[in-house]
Amino acid sequence: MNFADPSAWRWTWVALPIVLCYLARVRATRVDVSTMMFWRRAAERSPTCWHARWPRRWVSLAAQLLIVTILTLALAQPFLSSDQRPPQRFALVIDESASMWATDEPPTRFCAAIRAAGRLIDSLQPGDSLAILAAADRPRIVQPLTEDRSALRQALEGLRGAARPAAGVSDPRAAVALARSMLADSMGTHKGAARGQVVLLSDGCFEGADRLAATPDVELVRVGKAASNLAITACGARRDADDPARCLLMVEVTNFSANAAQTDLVMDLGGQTIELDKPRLAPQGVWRKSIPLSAADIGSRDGAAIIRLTATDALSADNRASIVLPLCDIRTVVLVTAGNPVLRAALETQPSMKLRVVGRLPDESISDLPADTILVFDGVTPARLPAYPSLVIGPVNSCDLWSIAGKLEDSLAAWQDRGSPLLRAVRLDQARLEGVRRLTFSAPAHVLAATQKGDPLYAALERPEGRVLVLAAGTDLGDLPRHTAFPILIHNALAWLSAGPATVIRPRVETASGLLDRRESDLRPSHEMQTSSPMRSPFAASPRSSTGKPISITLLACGLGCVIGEWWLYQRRGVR
Amino acid sequence: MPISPRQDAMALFDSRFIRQLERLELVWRRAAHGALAAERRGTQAGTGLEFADHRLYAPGDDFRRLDWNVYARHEQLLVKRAYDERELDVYLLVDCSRSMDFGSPTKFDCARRVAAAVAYLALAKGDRVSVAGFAADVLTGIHSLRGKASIFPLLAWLERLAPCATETNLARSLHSFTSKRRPRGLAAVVSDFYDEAGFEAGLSLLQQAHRTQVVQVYTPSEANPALSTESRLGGALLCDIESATSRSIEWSGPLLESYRAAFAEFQQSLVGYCGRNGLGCLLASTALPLDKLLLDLLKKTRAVGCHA
Repeated sequence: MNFADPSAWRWTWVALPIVLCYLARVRATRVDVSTMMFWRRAAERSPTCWHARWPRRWVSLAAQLLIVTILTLALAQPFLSSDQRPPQRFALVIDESASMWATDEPPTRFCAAIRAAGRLIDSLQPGDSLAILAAADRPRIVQPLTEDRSALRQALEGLRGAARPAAGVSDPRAAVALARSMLADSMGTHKGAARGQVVLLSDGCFEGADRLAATPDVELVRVGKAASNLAITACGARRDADDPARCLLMVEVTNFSANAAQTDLVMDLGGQTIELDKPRLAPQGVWRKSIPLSAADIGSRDGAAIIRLTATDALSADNRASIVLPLCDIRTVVLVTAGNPVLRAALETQPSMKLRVVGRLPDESISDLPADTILVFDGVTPARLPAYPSLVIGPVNSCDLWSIAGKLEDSLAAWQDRGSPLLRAVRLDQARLEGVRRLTFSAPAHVLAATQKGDPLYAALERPEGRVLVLAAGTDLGDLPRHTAFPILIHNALAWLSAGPATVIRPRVETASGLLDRRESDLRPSHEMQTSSPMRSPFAASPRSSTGKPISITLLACGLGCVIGEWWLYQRRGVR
Repeated sequence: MPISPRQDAMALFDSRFIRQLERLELVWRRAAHGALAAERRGTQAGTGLEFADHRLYAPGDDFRRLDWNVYARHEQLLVKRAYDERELDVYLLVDCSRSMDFGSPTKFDCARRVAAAVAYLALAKGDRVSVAGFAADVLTGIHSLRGKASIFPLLAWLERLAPCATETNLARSLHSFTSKRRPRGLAAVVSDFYDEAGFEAGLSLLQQAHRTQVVQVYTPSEANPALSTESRLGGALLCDIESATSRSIEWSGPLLESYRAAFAEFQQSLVGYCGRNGLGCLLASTALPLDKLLLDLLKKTRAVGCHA
């Protein structure tokens, strides 16, 4: 007689505490009585009671030990030598996909699969050979086909120590195909052996698990239970087309469960945690949202952010995504002024700008400036504007683009181009400008604001060397700095000058890394797969008795009979 | 002398016990008015008030006892005789053997309470009370107490009384008690009567000297032993606290049934003996309330003692 699961014999240790308890119990309990004469008379009437003690107790102990022996024997799944099958070849494929790191089977499904693999190795019969493969994003052979159980166990331990969640989409089908080819190649070396069988230890969370489980030469031993899970299934970011200083974060969260769920969506950026939203998800629901991130949110950090869900679920690997936020460029702004603190303060508040203040613009400084520098002239301008995007505030002299012919008497803005992004949220007609000079442009200019008589107050000029904006205000800017529109005007101007001539903003979408495949995040197998009990090894022979019923069932029935017998003995020993 | 070294306040006979006795006395007076007492008549004619019979006058008789009505009718000098009215001697014998120190509360405590209650009622009626302890022999007692105020020294004596380490020997103890000359009275034996030699010889001696009342004290666990699960599984080592002998047994239903039958037979034999010989008998379980126990006892005592 052989045993399909010899490791079950360790349950015979249960007999030790039974014997110890028996020895502890056989010590007679001291009972004080006032007189012995009634007990003596009682004993004379039922003399057997005085002598039946030891035999009956030993029968009880023997019955209990017999129960333990029979149950252990049943767990070991005995089978007759005549039922033993010929040596076979097996390939054990262990799923290493990310879903195998779910914690519904403590500590993880992968560890449970390793334990199950160890039990399967223990149940190999003499002459059986086994290969171990790992099914990650690419299948790999952990241990070639061998009969050496110690080598198999070492390979299993190595797999346990080195395994990590697969980053990509794992495909156990490829590993199964590799296992089949291994078994087919070994047909020549194992003469007379039957066709091999592939045993797949997996949670079934992959495409085509149903079909694979139905394949006759593949036995799928399922690991883990159906578990609820929340996952970040998509994440991306891009620059805001309207405001280059801003960034749009696009996140998709999916609820892979039959219950509603809520979690916090946060972003770790530069050592700080920013709470983004509180997604509330319906059962099977998907939550998508574009979250604008201002320059203040992003700041001057390097843009490497981690988006994560704070909810605790079965799989933590899909609760986070790493993304590099598209940061706005830091541009240099050179303010050429004799001293205008209002204008300087307005420029200093602009994000993504590095301000440099000079009294005049020497020729040698021009070559040192970065190519994307924006020049801001306060009053005095060179005779020829440099080949940089330029903003001129209150020009006092003529240059190559315009000429000045005296001052305007009426300097109130009577008209402005409301459709221009340069005047978004700006009302120049509410400001009083002083000492405005009359400009006559020598190049095509787009007037953004003008007086009642049509004299330009604010104009934009396109030129190949760079855009130019000119605000024909006096040197003191009148009361314009006291309006809240002034920093907005400066911001709009710098944003327009940054875009350059005829630039169409097509922000590139940055995609998050570390996201799992949706199928990996769904920890509920799509079907009720045929599961193999860990007590019943697919490597084992069929442990059946000659009557056709499993021997274990017969033994369990015998054990139940012994339990009833012992109970009867106990009741007989008791007091009515 | 089985007197406990404890001389502290009485724990057994506390104020609650005294109040209970006073209440019991009132109940007893209402229930048995005029039927008892130092008002008891003697069996010999004497100087009492209750008429007994006539006899012929003899010189020297008291002229005040001549029945002049009979003389007027028959012209014959007859002297009226009356029952002698005298106090009753009550003897309380308390078993102090080791077997009485059993149960919770112990049979010994119950016996002492019963003895104290009977003594109190007797003292209240003007009877003369003597109390003695016995085990293998009669131990020193307290004798000839009179008056209600004597209850306190009696209670203090009972409080100090402790069980001794000897076995019960009823025959020797009661023989020793009856061998001393004492006025005939009512003798109450409070004991468990667990004597290997039997109780018949001792009670027979006592009955010849006094009207006898038997109070058998027992615990519920003696009548119906309750066993723990551990005892059921591992058997038991029975230890006789009186004889210090031990014996191991294996619990079984038939054994316990035999025990119960033996105990019941013992009680039936005691009751039967008392009934056949005109002794009062009361089976007193320690689980019964004291007042109920005493009322039962006094009813039986009345039946025995009213003609003492």
